[in-house]
Amino acid sequence: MTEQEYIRRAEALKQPLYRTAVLYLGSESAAVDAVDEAVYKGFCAYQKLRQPEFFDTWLTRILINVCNTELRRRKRELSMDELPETAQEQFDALPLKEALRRLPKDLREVIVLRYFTGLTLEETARTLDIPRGTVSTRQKKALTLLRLELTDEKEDAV
Amino acid sequence: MKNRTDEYWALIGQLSQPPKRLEGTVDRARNRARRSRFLHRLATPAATLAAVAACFVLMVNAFPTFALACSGIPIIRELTAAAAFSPSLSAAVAHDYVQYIGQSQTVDGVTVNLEYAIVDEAQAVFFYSVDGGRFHTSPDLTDEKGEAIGGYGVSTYHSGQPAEADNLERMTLDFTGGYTLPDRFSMDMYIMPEPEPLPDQMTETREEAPTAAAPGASVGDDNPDLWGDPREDPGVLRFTFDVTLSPDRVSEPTTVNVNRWIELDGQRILVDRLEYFPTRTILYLGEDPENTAWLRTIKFWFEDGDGTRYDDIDGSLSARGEHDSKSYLTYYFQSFYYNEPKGLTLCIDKVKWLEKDRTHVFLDLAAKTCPGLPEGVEVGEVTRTGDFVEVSLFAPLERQSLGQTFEGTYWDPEGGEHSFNRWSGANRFDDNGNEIGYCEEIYLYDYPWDTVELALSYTSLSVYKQPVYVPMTPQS
Repeated sequence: MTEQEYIRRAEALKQPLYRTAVLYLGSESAAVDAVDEAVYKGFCAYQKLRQPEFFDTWLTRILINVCNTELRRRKRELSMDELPETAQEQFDALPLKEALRRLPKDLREVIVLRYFTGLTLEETARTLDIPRGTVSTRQKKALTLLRLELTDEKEDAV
Repeated sequence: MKNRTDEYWALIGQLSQPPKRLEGTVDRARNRARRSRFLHRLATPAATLAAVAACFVLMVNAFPTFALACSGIPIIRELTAAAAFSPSLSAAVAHDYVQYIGQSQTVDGVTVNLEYAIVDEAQAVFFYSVDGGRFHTSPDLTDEKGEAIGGYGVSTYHSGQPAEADNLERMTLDFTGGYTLPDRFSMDMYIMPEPEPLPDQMTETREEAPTAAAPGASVGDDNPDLWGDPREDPGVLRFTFDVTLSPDRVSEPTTVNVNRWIELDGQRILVDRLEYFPTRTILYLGEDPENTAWLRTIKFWFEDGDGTRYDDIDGSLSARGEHDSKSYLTYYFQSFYYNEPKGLTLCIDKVKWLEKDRTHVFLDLAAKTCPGLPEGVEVGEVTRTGDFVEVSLFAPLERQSLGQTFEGTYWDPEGGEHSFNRWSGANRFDDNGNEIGYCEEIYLYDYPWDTVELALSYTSLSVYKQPVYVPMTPQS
């Protein structure tokens, strides 16, 4: 991958990265800082990326790591206490943004990557290092809790 | 069910309006990488700290409540400083809603002093100091029976000063979904000893960039278990405080029943009521079912009789959809209202509508035409690569703050239903680098058809040069 190619692909991905970072960190300012850091780290390493077809997954993973490091290092955690999967009524009562942040973590991370970062099932599985079927199961569970009817024809077609 | 999906797209639209600063992300990365070739060790940019300082100055100068809190209350200076970023909290200080806790614990040489709390039914704010450590992760709360208390999210703020007993930090617990904090509870706080160096003193070796050996490998994180329980992180210390709050100082929410109908762009909207806690405000609207358009977004602020403006300074404005309407009629807002403001006025300056009989448009991908788009929005480019289609929509620059033009679902000519998986938006520039407009891109995957039916997220935006003022008093 050339520098120009990295720049082009990072430019194209920065908005989904920003959305992801906002949902992880809870503030615009922190999210931009995190995207800055992730894009910088990627810039330092793109020449070592052996499989450019996995660029989105790779840079998203870097961002997630940056976000987690940021949460711990700066001690400005904005994670919400989770509601149990049985708390449908409580989920219903919350605005979507809050309901999302109150999802159990394993469900939340799948929804963030699938529907806010825009990764496919396969990419999400690769990013989280979990089986594709697990992503699918968690996705269905989370969408049910959030009462979201989001289909994905790309996945269905596979 | 349908409205939750609408809410999703509204949230996507909200998140698709990135701050201006994001535009320079890649340039900054490139410049930083180049600098790092010459500097083996780089000081961490102090931009965040500078922003904090600037914000502090702004708050001191901009908010009377804060000035009042600082000047009028004989309470330690650190408390008002810690509250500086929230007008609500500084007003709470001013109105003596602060509860003294005054507990201290030392574990393995690290001391936590839990000093004060400000509590209402929506939020609990704790002020504490840590000598020799840093806040690590959200606290656990249990009631008198030892059962976990849920329903809260946690945010923290610290000044960036050294972790010493004199520096108060702030931890905010936001309760939602009907949960509240009981008068008596235990709180487990998790503290990591040996704080990191201060941002302005920190140096960092930039040689540790990710190696990207394989997709999915852990990159740039000290802890290989990304999703592990931070309470179990090595070295974390737990401090348990038994807290009793005084119900007298737990402020009650105030409800202002307004019940006032207003007309905006020919649509009748009911300003039903305002509910405010010291830390949060909820505005409830209603609508006339005879309206010809749904209210999709309303931008507003409040002013009191003294001319004080209560604005959405922290980006906290959010809205909730309805079950039986495409309108957004419940708005959550930062509250500044310990002062029981007199003569409160709702000031509306922007409203986004979706006409009920104009919710769908048909885009001709071959002819690049789409009658019925919102005013100012036009089809820019349509690029087909096999069954993959990219569509660019051009709009005036000011439309960048409006979010998505379309809802998430679209239909092919055979009636098949599809969902957008990706989208993007960016400003457009001329050859001289001047911003000339806004470009939104949508992507249709596996789409061999030449036309597509799209659902509009809005049809018009009204920007009132003269805001619409609504007295927050019952209509006589």
